[in-house]
Amino acid sequence: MDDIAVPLHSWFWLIVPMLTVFALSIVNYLRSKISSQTDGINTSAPPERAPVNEADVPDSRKKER
Amino acid sequence: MNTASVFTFVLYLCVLIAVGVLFYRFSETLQDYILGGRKLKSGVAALSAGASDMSGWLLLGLPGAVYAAGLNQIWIAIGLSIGAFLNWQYVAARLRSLTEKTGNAITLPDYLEQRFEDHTRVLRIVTATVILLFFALYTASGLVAGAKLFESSFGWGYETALLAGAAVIVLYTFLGGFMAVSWTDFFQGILMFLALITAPIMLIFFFENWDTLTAGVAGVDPGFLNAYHEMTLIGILSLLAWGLGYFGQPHILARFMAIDSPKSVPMAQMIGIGWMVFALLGAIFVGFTGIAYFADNPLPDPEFVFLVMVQELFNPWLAGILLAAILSAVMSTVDSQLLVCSSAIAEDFYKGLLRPSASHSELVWVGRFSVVAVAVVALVIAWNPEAMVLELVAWDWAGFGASFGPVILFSLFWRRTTLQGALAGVITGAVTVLVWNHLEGGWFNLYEILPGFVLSSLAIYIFSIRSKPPSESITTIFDAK
Repeated sequence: MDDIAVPLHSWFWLIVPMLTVFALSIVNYLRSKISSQTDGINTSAPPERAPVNEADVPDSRKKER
Repeated sequence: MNTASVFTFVLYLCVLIAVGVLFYRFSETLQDYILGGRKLKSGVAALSAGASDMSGWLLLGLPGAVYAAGLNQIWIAIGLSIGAFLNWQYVAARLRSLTEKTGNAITLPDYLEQRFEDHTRVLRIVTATVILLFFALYTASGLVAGAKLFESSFGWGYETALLAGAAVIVLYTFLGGFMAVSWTDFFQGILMFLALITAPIMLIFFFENWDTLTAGVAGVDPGFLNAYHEMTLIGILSLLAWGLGYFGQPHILARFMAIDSPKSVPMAQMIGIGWMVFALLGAIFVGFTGIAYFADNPLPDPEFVFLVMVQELFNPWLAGILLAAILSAVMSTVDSQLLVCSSAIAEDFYKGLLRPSASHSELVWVGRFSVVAVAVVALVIAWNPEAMVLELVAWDWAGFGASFGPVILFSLFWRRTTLQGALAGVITGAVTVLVWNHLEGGWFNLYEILPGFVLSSLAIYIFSIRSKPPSESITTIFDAK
């Protein structure tokens, strides 16, 4: 039993971290894909521009105008 | 070597040269020649980064190490996989983005100079010099490995093999620049991957089942089945620490800078890590099965375990392709290193210091002739086959990892990093690697990249905190998304 347990144990140490980084890379790619699709939906109709509140405009900008 | 293998292999070399000719007319500016105009697609960026990173080590060194010492060599593969993953995850997109914003920097010295607004040019000179010195030796070691392979496969003399290998690499790099190098690396990466997937499949059929294979390995030495066999904590840490080297390898970081958009990085990461994980597992499996396969007739040179098994188990045509894969692994690293050296000469010294107003065409030709010049220097170093250049690979890897890795990470993620901190980090990392290499006993047996990386990071932090904060123009670029 021990003869089999030792090699499996060693292969486990090798395979688990390596497959984990691969799985994380796939998850990262899928997240970026979903995020880019969501961005596409949001940007398909440009948001309405909020009315400018004069009180929020800094004095320096008012002078520029 | 039989006619089929020779024919397949010569055909492969002709394809490489054809790629160089094809991309000749696309190199109009120096950015095209050394960074492909930042138009690299995800798949090409991923596989060319992997192929240029792995070198002949993947098909010769790693299977050879597992064949000679057993499964206690797996720690290096684990360290490299984690390091490469972190590099893609945290460095790739940010470096791509920041190098474009900092005056469209096309080399690492150029990027660091602009990131830290170094008007003295000291950082550019120091980093470009480090690149030239370390890569001349690194390239020479690749040429030696390639020549020894040619020598054993074709029965040529060492000098003839060295000149023939160098001539092919220089020809396509000279003509096609970065795009030719990246596309040939891409094909080379595919070949290496196929070789490392098909060989284990053939070997599984050969041994019929897992128990026969394991019993064969245990018959040679039961310790070969154990990842902890004859390993100390320092030994395991040293092998895992190889992964730290990724953050500072100029030829790999160049792929990140050249990718067509930061948005392409997640796909490139997935392809690159997938390629690496399965290639490493394949290489380890080949070495492991080699222990049982050659149990009654051990190989004099463990590094040839893959080569000999391929010639014995495969059809001659397939063996020719797999041999091409081994030489691909060597060539894909040498071409990338030649190009990084060429960029250091053309961009960092010639344009940066001597002729800032040089035309695009002039710079491309300086780049091309720099490839030839560096190749000649590497050939001179490699001329003596007994030279210890192969042993310098670990030292070169540590040198780049410890002197450039921390400064790249700090430049990307800590806005308070200053020029003084960057300079202190580069110098501390390089000096630590140099000195640690000569010390022996106890913790001094630790692979020098680990102390080099830690001390370099500390130096960057301390010198940055103690110097004047960076200007607003720097922090504005840093904060921009």
